Amino acid sequence: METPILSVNEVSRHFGSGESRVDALKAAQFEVKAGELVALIGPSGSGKSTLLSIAGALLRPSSGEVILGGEHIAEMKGTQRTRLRLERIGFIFQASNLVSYLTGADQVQLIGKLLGLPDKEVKERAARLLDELGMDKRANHYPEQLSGGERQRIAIARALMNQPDLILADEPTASLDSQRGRQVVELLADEVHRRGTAGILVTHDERLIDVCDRVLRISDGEVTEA
Amino acid sequence: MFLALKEFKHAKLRYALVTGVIAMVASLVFILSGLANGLAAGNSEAIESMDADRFVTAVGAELSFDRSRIGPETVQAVTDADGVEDAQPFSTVMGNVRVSDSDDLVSVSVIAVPVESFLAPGATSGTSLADNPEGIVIDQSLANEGVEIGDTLVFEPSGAELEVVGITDGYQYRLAPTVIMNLDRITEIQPDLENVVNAIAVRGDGATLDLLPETVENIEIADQGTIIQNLPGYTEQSLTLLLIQVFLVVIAAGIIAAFFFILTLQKMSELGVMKALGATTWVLAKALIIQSIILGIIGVLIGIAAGCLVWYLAEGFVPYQVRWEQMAMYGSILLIVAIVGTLLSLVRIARVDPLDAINKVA
Repeated sequence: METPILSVNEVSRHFGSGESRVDALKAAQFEVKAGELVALIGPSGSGKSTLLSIAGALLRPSSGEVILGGEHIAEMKGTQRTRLRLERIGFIFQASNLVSYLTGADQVQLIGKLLGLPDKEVKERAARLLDELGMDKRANHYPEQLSGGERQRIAIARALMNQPDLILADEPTASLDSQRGRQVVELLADEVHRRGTAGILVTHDERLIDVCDRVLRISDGEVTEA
Repeated sequence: MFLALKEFKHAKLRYALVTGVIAMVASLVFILSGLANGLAAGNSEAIESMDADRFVTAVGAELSFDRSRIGPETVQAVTDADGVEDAQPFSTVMGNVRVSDSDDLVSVSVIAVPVESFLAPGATSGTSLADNPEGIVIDQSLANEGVEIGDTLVFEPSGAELEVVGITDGYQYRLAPTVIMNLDRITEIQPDLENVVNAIAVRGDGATLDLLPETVENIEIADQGTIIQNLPGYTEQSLTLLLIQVFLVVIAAGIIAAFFFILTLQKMSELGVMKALGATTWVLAKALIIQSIILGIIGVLIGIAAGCLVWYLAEGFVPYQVRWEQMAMYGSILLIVAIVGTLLSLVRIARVDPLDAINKVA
């Protein structure tokens, strides 16, 4: 059997202690394989963001282990986690999380520069990605000049720039109408399948399930395969 | 560099305004210190222009020319003393003059010097005292009040009339326009100074000259700086001016530091996103420090330009003096605090939680 890119084993996370203790995540257990886009669906406050943050090396679990591409990321220190996010994870946040003073092309190039890639490669790789996502004509516009759908395409290009093992998308369709939202998710699914990247799409929109390969449901911190 | 410059390019107006604020604060610092320098110079400029190594006054005068009276024997004794290369007696009095047939009185300080000595200033226009010992040379500050070569100054109350033959510059004394005249004629306007002078300007080796009071009786000796310090009101005035400048620089520094701090705080959420994407605190900090250095340098340079512009415009109206070493010091202070303000905000950047990128937006 194929080794999963992401393994989440018995991962729990609680906030606070004593009376005010909140168990945001209870012994979550799942895997995501290469080329697989998994939908993570649940109501707000169900622990979606906590799970995404732990998978994205932004938050450490209270217990359990998270393995990304063979590395145990739950125990990593701050700077190691920053490096890991830069090199192996692609993030797509909700709309408007682009850097306001960078053009579309610069947003994508920024990741290459942070990685320390040679200038020529940065430019070529970014141009190719923007072209793939149909944003080559709009690449020199600032976020404020782009529509919500265009911004998310830039965000996808940015998330792919580091050729990540894992893409994490946090409600990328939240600020889009259903038609545009669907287009964005289809684009994301295409890229995940073609590149053999693992992907998690957090959403509360049931209509997007058919674009994804598998569905995980989360409710009160408990993750179940649907 | 990438982030720093891209942000400038996009938010031109914001950064132009920030630069404008730094430039205005810097201008304020430079202009006020220029005025303060000018005021200080108006008090003491003549003493510096006299270009003597030491000044001799009478014992008990506490180094004040006004209170000092030196007789001809003492002048001779100083002139003949060891280590004295050149010694020239002079007197200073405050006086009132009318210009030709006008009725308005103008207060002037009068410096009376031997016409053939190093104390007699050259003329920037007209003739010098050496060429025309019967006339007077006026400082530019009096020329600025409309007095011209060829005018006659009538000294009150003595009624002595002296003709302006030349104009010189750099001889302001006691914040009054200055008249320089032949020492031999001082009694015409101040009969008390018959056969005495106020002080002696001496050239020679300083250390040797300092021993003069041991060989010549009833004198004290001091260098230029000490004499200036002992000008009436000079110490008090310079303390006030110094405090004005200190407060100005401290407050300007505070404003600039706070500005850069706020500038960074505004960007916190964006910094959080970039951290989530894998940017280290150092990468983000570097961009901010580069920005503060660039903005600080531009702002200070504009401030210096403003200071020099006022210098040019003030010429002839207001005492104003640019001191480059002082400008360099104040400019560096402002630049450093701009960077320090940014560094203070770095603590906040270090604490930005990339997790906010996910949580806050919902």
